[in-house]
Amino acid sequence: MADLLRKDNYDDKGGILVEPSTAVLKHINSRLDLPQPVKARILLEIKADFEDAMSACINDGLSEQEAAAAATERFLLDDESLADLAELHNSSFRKWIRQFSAPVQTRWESSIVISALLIILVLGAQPVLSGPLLRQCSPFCIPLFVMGAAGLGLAVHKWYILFVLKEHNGQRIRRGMKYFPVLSLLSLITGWLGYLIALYRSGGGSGNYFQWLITYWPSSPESSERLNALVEGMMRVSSLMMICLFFTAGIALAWMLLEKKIQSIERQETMWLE
Amino acid sequence: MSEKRSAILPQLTKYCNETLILSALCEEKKHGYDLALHIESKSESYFSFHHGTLYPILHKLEKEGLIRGSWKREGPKRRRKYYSLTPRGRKDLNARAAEWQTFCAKITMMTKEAS
Repeated sequence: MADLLRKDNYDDKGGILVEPSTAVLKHINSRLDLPQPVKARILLEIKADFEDAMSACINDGLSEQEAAAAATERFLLDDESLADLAELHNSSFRKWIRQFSAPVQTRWESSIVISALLIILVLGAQPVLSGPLLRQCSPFCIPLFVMGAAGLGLAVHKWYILFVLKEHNGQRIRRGMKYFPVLSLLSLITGWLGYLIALYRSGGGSGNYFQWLITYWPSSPESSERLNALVEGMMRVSSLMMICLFFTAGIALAWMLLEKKIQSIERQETMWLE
Repeated sequence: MSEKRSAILPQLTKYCNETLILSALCEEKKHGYDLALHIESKSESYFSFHHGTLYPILHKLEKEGLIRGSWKREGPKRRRKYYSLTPRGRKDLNARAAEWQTFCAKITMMTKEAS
């Protein structure tokens, strides 16, 4: 408690620098093992009561510092109360998973996510590999599939953390989020690179078609043949472009949805600071 | 005997606290701080609540459907949770009150005989 009422919270004249309610709520927030928005609601409830208790103490003639100390004494939740609240509000799954240590949880989470991903890949890979899509496709499809699988794995893992396990603490919530835009961008770049290289090859590897495409529209029979070859080339790589856009948009969409959820959790996390 | 008593006492305290909260809510809705003050003043400071212990009890009763919590906006940034008794809670309170009266009467009778 002394830590909560330390001198840094007050200026030289005893004026308040950090609201005592904020210090107490921060302390409770760090120890209360609950997901959002339940945690934010509990903290908001405590905040309003704390402020009332402090005002009552000031009205009784105590100084602000004394009032803060008295209110802190009354409102600090002990370990038993915190455990009771966690027991009341946590889901059965969360309670069950809390029985295991953090490393065991991480190991199990990774195993479940990898197994789920492998099942999806095995089930999904067969129709894709046996179908005409991949046979007509360029080798650039392979890195695209790897990036798509990585994006899917990451999205499944984040979904599990945010929606199933409801692990909403500050350190873990944003872990891995930066890889979504990177994967999405890499997938787009790879797709376009594959597309341009395929077009370059369909022009005999000389780059003529790029030049021709930019400079003039075909009018001679020779250029008409070239145009046919170009269209054929474009059609051949269209499946690569489809896969590229599918993965780019899919990863970006997963990123957007997860980011939205994280932002809402973060807003709730700081609701009681307002 | 003392082991048994130490196991019974927390249960009894919890049950007693729940009954106090339910009875404090039987007239009108109150927020947590108000509830603690009400119990303290009405019992002439015989019962005193540490607020930290109040919230788990309130949330438990709310989860059991004996009380209902509702948020009310007080000013632009302030929100407050008020609790009120549900019909089920009122019924439960009546049952508890009858139980307490019997319990107290029996204890009084027994201790009177002993003394």
